[in-house]
Amino acid sequence: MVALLRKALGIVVGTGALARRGPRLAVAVGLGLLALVASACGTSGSPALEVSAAQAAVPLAGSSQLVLSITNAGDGDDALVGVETDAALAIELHETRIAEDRATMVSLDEVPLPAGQTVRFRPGGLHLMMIAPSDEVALGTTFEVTLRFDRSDPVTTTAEVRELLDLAEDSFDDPDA
Amino acid sequence: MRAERLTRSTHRPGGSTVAALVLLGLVALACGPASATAISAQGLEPGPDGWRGVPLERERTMPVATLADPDGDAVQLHTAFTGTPTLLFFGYTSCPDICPIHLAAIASAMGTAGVSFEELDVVFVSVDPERDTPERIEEYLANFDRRMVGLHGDLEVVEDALAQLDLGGPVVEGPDPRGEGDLIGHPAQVIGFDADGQALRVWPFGARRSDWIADLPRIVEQWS
Repeated sequence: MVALLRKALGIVVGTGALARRGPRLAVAVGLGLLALVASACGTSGSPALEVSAAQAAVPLAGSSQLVLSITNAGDGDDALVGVETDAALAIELHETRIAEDRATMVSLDEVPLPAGQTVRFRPGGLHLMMIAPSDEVALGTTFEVTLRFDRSDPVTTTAEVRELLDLAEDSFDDPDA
Repeated sequence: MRAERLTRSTHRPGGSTVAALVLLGLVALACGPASATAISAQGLEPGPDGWRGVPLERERTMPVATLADPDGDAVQLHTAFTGTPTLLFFGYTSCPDICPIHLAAIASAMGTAGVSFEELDVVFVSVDPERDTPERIEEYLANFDRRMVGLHGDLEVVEDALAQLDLGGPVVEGPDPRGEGDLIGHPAQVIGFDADGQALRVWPFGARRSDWIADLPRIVEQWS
């Protein structure tokens, strides 16, 4: 990243002089810069995803949620576009938003996984909601979930079923995690 | 847009440094802040008096509202829940995480703290009359403790009760993306009332079992 920024600085310093020489050069340099910005943001690099083990809450009122984290250690962006399991009718991407003491839940089509960042799904924030979990989703059992991404190959991970309150308190205890 | 800004800044006389800074800023901006995982609750810090619940700055009282219990009998909120302290929460049974976490934490702490439902009323008011039938509310609360009181009423009555607590705002925010029913907005905190029906403190989302274990005995001792 440092090398990239030095390169960017070098190009910009050169641009001042080049731009005065003619519009064609300026356009060329402009396009070069655009490409540089784009590459710095990971749209042309490769994502490298690490998916944590998952935990699911004991179902309540016909739903449950999965807690897990996805780290994109690569230099290219990706996005979570779907989660599948045999243990529920469906898994939806949701986000609970709390503003001015009011909570609402929104449904998302996909969740961005920017290069170099970790995205966590947990109570009170981004979460993976299981609709109509099957009987096998019970305290202490495990089941498999498969995550599908925009660019990377699907990843399957194991989910362990725990009490929702335990999942929530773990996330309260770990605000930066 | 981005190209325009870049090109324009490079044309400024002596603007190389500025352009470099702008580019650095753009790279930083375009890569985005790490806000995707922000959580709004990180547990409650004890106040100087030891309480975990947050004191209310303005006076509020138990709303004047006529709701119904699971049997369909009318319940006057402002008269039924005076005489003992009350914890009041507005939620809905399709609520994925805020509601069950609050209710599970309170139910668990009641037992640990040795506070009985005779000493403290715990009241759940549904903000989703369309989906929350009396049976469904009863079944839902049984997941936590059957002694919690589940109430329902017309949306206008519930909205008016919220407004009386300065917790107004649209309850129905549009169709629920999950299919049937509405997308619901509701207060994220539990409201605590003393035996006279004065609202004294709130517990925002993020309150743990341990916060309730600390506060429940104080509620019974000081608010009865």
